[in-house]
Amino acid sequence: MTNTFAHQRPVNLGFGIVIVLLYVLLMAPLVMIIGASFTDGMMIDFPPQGFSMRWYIEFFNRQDLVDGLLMSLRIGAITAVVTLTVAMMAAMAGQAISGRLSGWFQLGMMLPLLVPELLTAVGLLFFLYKIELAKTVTGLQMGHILMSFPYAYVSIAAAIRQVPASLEEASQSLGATGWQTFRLVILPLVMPGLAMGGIFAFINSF
Amino acid sequence: MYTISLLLKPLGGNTLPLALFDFLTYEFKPTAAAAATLSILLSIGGVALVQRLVGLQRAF
Repeated sequence: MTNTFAHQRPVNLGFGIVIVLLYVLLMAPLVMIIGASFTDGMMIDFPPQGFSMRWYIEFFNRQDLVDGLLMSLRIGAITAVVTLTVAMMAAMAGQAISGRLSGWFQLGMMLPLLVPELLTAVGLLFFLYKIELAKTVTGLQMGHILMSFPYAYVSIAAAIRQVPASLEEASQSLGATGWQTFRLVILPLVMPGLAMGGIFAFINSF
Repeated sequence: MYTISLLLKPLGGNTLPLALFDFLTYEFKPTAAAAATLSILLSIGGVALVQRLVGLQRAF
C-alpha cells in the first residue's frame, strides 16, 4: 500500500507550497498595513520605524476621516438590518415557490451580483434623480442595501434549505400558528445563516 | 461597493473608503494605514461577535 501512495508525496508537498503562497498573498497586505500604521516615521513603510500610536490620534483628529468612519458605520448597520429582513422574506418566498419559476426567482435575487456594479450604480443614480433622492444619504443607503442583498440571500437561502419540511408540518399539526412556527421552529434553525448573512452584508457595505 | 458609494454619495458626505481615497490623493501619511487598520479591526470584531453569539461553524 505504501508503495502505491509513495508517488503522492511530491504532489502533497507542491500542494502545501501553493497553500502557503496563497496565505502569504492574502495576508501580506493586511500584515503590512497594520504594521505600517504603528510606525513612528512620516511615511507608510514596512517594517515600521519605531512604535507609536500617533497616527491613530491623527486619524481621530481628522474631521473628514472620522465623519467617513461614522457614515460607514451607520450605513453598514442599517444595511445589515434591512438586508437581513428583506433577504429572510425573499428566501422564504424562494423556498415556497416550486418548479421552473423557482430558478428564475433565484436568478432574479442574484442579479445585483451578475450585473456590473457600474451599470447598477449609473442606473440607480438616474432612478434616484427621478424620485429626487439622488445625492442623499437615503439614496446611498438604498444602493448599499441593493448591492449587499445577494450575499445575505445566498447564505439565508442555504440555511432555509437545510430545514426539513417535516418539521414545519409537525409544528402545524401540533396546532402552532404560522407565526409560532416561524418564531419557534424556523428562526432558531436558520439563526447561523442569518448571522452569516448579516455579517456579509455589513462587511460588504462597510 | 466603492463604485456605488462614489456615484451615489450624498452632498458633503463621504464613506470611509471615499474619504480615505480623497486623503491619499493629497497626503501619503500613515494616517491612512491607521484608518485601514481600524476598518480591518471592525470587520474582525463583527465576525468575532457573531461567532460568540451564534457560532459560525454551524453556518457551514
